[in-house]
Amino acid sequence: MSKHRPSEHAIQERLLRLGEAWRENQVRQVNSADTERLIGAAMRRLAKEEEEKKPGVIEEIAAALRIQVKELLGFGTLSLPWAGGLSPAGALSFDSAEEKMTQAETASSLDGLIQARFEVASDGKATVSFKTSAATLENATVQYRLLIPSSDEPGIAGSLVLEPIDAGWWGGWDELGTARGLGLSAEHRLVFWIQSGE
Amino acid sequence: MADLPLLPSMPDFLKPYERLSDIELREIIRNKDQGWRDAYHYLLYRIMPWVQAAVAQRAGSLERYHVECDEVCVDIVAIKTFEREILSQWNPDKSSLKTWVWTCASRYCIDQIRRAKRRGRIETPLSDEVGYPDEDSDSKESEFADRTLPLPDQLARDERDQQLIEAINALNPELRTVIDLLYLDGMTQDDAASVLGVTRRTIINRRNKAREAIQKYLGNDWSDLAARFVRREVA
Repeated sequence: MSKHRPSEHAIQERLLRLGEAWRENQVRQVNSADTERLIGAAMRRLAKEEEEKKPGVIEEIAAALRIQVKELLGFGTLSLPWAGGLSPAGALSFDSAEEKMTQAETASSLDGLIQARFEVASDGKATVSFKTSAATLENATVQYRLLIPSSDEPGIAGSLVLEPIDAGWWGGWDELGTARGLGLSAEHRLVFWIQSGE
Repeated sequence: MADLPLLPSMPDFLKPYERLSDIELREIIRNKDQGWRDAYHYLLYRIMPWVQAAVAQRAGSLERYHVECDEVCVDIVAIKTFEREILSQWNPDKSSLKTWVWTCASRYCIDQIRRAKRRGRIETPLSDEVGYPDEDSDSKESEFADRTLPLPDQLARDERDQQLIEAINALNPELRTVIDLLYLDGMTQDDAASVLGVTRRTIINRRNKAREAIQKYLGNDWSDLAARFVRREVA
């Protein structure tokens, strides 16, 4: 009687099925409490990563700021108080609808010289704040203006003196009013620039 | 074999995703469609046990190099890695998602072990323990010596499976490693070659040798078994 050797194909099929059975057997030994814990950790990681994405948004806005600075320089609407070089001035766009602006809006940075933040609180109160290093500014004034780019309407303007808020940093804030009261829309831009105290 | 049941403690708000296939869930997550976070959350219930089980296979080596298994599990399913390495590269025509997840998790563990080894994170002398590679060994293949554990008999669906398990358990470590990577971890020949640091041709040669060895081992037994089955059927 000739030997009945299994074909390669038969062995291959059996090996594949055996591999699947082996994996499922290993999975059955998994502790479901551990699974839950790890899923929880993964979801927390997702939440954290999404939170950390914000700097990415800031970077985008910083890039947008730089573009708008060029545009504004072209318009000649900004005086350049700095002796030589480019003033760290910029415009912060509102690219969101009014209801979205009720959320805390974003911080931005311009070449690391200044950080500006425009916020609309849940009650609709809009504030603007700036931070920069003492080394960058001494008794400087930040001026801001709300513009509707399409019409070059000056809009609301103001200025504030930066005050030390903690060691090494200077900052200030000003209330603009409520978003609704100011009639803010996605068209508006917040333009700010720094007037040197010298 | 039927899919393993979902964990009973899954939150109710994820239940609507139960009716969706792995492919549908993948599309929701990749396209960032509405509810993608919930789809991802739900998919974790489907795949996390597979990640855990795959990582557990390397637990000995991971812990040896002071790599936390739990951390590895979470790293594997972290959304960026998950989208880039698992969902995007998954081919549903070639494997189920759970098998693919297993394969990816195995590869990830091996990468982590190698990285930790390069960083010199090892503290326990390997040579003090039986079945682990020599501390000074540069051989990538030696990293898999701890995987050549006997396959359990309970996997056998019939007497032929039983014989097949015996044949696999009788393979020498070199051939057994290739069988493990290709069939237990579900890796491609290229993956296995990369893991072992050999050419794809070497993998194919070893796989063929392993199959021949299994064929030889099973030759008479399968003949006898076939005869026995025939007798059973007739009776």
